[in-house]
Amino acid sequence: MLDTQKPPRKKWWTPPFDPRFPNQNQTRNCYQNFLDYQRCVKTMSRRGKNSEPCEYYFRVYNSLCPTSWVQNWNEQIKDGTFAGKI
Amino acid sequence: MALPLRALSRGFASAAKEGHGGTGARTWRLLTFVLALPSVALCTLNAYLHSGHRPRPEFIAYPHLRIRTKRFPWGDGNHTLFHNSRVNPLPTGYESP
Repeated sequence: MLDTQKPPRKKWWTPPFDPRFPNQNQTRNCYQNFLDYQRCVKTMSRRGKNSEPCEYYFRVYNSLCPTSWVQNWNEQIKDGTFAGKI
Repeated sequence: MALPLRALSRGFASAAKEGHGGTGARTWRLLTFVLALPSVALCTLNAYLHSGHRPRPEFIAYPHLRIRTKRFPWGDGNHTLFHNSRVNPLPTGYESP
């Protein structure tokens, strides 16, 4: 394992193993990271800080989630009908 | 195993037998008028005191609620069977103000 190297900055890496979601069904993994990104951005902007640390969640959910889900959710957030707690 | 079970199953029936001189019915009539009916009256009072209109929740058009994949077989196909216009919104919103 090449753990000694940092992940490349500008390239997309595969999301690392998340022990909270060890099995084949990764839907909650996708959803959880999407929520975490939204909450991270909201909190960072509320505190006036740079939202760059949130990019981790952004990359993970973009790798894991079907694009149609992401588009649906983003539209729902825009309309105010997203069911998750952000 | 058998003896403890038999002791349990004797519980209610033997209480009935203890109605002195009468049949078991006296016990249950007493329980009905002293326990059951007053409890019903208290619960009715409680429900009446907590009744009355509350502010209804604002309507948000969540896509996972009020799904209409197929029309209902009754009426205009859009109202649930026990639709209450004051508190049940349609997929587009509340009907009455």
